Amino acid sequence: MQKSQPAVVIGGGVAGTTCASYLASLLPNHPIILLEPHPSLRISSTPTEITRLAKDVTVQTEQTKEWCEKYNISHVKAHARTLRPGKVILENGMHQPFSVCCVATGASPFVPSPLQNPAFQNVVITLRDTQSVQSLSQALSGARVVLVVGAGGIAMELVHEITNCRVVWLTRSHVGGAFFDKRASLALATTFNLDKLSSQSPSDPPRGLEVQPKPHSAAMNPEISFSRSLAAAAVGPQWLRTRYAPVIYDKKGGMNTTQKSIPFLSGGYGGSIQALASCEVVDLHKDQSGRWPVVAQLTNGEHIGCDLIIVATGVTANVAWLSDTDIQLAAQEDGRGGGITVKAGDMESSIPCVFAAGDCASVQPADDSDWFQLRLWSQALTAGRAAAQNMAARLGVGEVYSGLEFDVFAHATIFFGKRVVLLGRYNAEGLCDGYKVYERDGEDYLRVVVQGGRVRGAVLVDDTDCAEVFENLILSKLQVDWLGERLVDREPDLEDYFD
Amino acid sequence: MATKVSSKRRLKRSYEEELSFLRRTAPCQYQIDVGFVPNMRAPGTFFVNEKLAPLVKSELQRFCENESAGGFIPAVKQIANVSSLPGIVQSSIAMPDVHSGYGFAIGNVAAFDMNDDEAVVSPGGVGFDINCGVRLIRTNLMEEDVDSLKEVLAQTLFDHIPVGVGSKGIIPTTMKSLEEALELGMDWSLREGYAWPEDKEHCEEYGRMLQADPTKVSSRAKKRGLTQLGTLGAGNHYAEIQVVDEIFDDIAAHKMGIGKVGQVVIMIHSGSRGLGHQVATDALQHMEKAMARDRIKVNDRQLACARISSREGQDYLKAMAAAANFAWVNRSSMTFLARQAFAKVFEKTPAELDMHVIYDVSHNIAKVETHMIDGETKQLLVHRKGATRAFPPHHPLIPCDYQFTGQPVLVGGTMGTCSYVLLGTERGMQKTFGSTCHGAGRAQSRSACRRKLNYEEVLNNLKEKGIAIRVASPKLVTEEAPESYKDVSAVVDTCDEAGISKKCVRLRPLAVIKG
Repeated sequence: MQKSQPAVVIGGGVAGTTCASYLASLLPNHPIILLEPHPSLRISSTPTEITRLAKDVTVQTEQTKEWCEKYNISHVKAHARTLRPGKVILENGMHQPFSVCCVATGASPFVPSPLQNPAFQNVVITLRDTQSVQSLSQALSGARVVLVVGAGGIAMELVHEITNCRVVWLTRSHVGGAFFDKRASLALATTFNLDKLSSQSPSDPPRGLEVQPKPHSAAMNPEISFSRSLAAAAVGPQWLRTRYAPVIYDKKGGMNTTQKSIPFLSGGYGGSIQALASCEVVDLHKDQSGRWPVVAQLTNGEHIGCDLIIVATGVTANVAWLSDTDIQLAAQEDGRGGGITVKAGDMESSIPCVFAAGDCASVQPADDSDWFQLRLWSQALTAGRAAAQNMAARLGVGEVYSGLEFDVFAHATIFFGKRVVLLGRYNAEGLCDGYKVYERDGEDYLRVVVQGGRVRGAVLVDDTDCAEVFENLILSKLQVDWLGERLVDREPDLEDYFD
Repeated sequence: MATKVSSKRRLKRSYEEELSFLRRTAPCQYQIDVGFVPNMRAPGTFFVNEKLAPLVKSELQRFCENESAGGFIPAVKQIANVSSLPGIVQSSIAMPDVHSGYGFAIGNVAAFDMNDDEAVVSPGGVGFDINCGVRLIRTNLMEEDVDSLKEVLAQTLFDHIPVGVGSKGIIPTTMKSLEEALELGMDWSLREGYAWPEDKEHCEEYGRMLQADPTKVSSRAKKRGLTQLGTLGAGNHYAEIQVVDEIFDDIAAHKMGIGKVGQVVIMIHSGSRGLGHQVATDALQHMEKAMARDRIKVNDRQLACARISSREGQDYLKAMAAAANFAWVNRSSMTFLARQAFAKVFEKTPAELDMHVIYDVSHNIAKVETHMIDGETKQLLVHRKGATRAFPPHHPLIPCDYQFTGQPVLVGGTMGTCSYVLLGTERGMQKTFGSTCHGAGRAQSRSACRRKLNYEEVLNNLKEKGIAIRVASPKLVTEEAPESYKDVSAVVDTCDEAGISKKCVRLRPLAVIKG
């Protein structure tokens, strides 16, 4: 390794920009290059802490050129074609040498093959980042029926927020499958009022609604003006605001009350959502009657006419470009996942001095930790920082990364308008046997996973103020077997008890 | 009474039988007789008035009537269990805001004789949030100066007090600066320019415990503290803008720079967060082994302890002191940020606004102190968990400003309720090792009350009182609502009536920033 060569970051997503900007602060006198073919970047804002480790991250878009100038980073506008020892080979054949390199090429939405039918590409949209959320607002305008496919977090957040149109939500296994096991999913159906969803057949169009000239085609037209006002069906303002606008949260996830608070439990569904578990799309057809731009044929035999199909079924790591190298890659599952194998904390791949962070990496947790990878912005942020610290340390600057971010999985989000905090191995992931799960049902669902007398994971819904206590208990590994099921009791107050 | 052997064979005592061990010995004072729990070496004592006594008793009643033993132990039983620890002096004492906690009840004060080789130190007697405490900062502003700016001020304070600022701002991220902070306490804050020299004067221990040894703090604990310096923490921690509501002792208030009703002050309640939690947990583990070695038997496993002179005991005290220093640096960092926020809003320097620290108390800590026991001077290790030191006038360990008035004691209320400044008394020195209450104490769990209270009502209630709220999912407002706490005034009145501290100033909240 030639230390004088620049540090190169490939990819301008959340992980890449975090890594590059942090590198710039750690190595103010070292050349840093960001390889990013797009003129705009997705930057994460300062995260707000929910607990010590759970962070709320907002993501915004910025111009690549200006952003790089701000941090004194050189921007190379190019795709990377492959890696060779000590250099990146660019699409244009140029070689970019490096001392250390971080691969942060992200991941692409996975689209199930029946939905890849080119004849319907104008009505099938994938949902992954801020840009597609904006276009989604437009795509939704005027829609009567929307089919949402997938159980990932973004779908969980989305379904609740689409208003004024009928939503049919298909999940391959159970509702919330990407986050919750079946047991939790059943309990959460009550917590989130999912059991009150409409059972009306979705194939009947709503009565009294005149069939409009199809607005979807216009919506998908890239030339459409962004100033176009949102018509009837749109992503609810709450969703957009809570995810993407700088909302002030206190550390327990509370919102500033001077902002108009939206009642959490007042309906919101209007009988317009139907959830179909264990159901997938088999094929897409044209509607003979001309009423629908597309008719989806489902595994349960139903045919559903709809204006729009939103796909949120997971992602595939963008690592195909590395196939001619001997870098170690994790296996994909069902066409999803995969990625460059790195160890949690040091973020180095099987090729020395090549690091990876974010969705393109497959992070192997340490044996005794309660952390696991889920492709989330918050994790991309942590990984970007960790990679930067290790890269700087490799160049002889700063200490080796030593935080506890990879010790406990922590994710704070909003599902169905309720605050949700997920901690540690909340689904008992990887705990073979001898563990217990305690649950408290109701509006403030709480689940605690205990193994060997210590807390390994927790799910907190609505009542998220105890999140820090559980995080502390997980990190401290304190023996709490004597508490048993009283861990989820409402009384006495655990937070006080462990003060 | 039955003999020791037969009492072991006996079935669980009925509530009435249990009650016979509790005796009212003075107004607001109850004694727990030896025999209430096994192996008691001294009686227990708790201070409650007629309003609070039923709360303590009903907890015991529920415990007696609940056949499925195990789980949580009621506070009175916990007070008595502490009396069984080796080296206990006089009595295990509880303050009016007592409620059950890990091993020791929150609100428990217990002193152990330093000259007794058997005497112990117990992490449960300090608590997990080591050196959790309250700091009060005065200003020369009056309520009318602040009234129209309340919202702006609350927002600015919220923006200034870090909510996970990571490496930016004043939080050191390197291990080296963290270790220095652990060793130096407020001297570190002073050196780095976050504190004023006179802040130290008005702080217990001058904001630095000298026996702190960062090498006794595990690297895991340090890692947990690494990004938490200068952060408020969650749960019951807060920063509050308050206004002087009533002055009970003009002369003492004047000494604190509190001139008249309507003056604006700032209260910060915070501790050592994850770092302290890890220090406590590490020590509990080490001590369990030491107990087996030294054959120390306790009534409750949560009372894990070690002889003060043992390696485990000494290591814990050094690590605890380091965690305490961390908490002081933490409160100092937030003081710095609050001064900046006020300076920004009022376009004056913090010095022009007279933003001096009135005092800073610790309510989760163990300290070596000198006390008179039966006419004899003794060195004691005083554990205070959810209890505040309250030294009387003329005590050598209180700042010269307060020599004639007694140490200020800061008792934080909760959202919407009042907070108090009390004064240490000679009587408290004699009866409670110079200790008094620390807060309101919960009357019912937050979740329980949440279901009973209506969020809108609570909000309106707060609004009527003129409090600007800067927290707050609707949920949070409700759960921290005043109704869920024991009446702080009842707690403070009990202390006043029992003479263990006396009322000086009552403060009323204007705006709250919660972590």
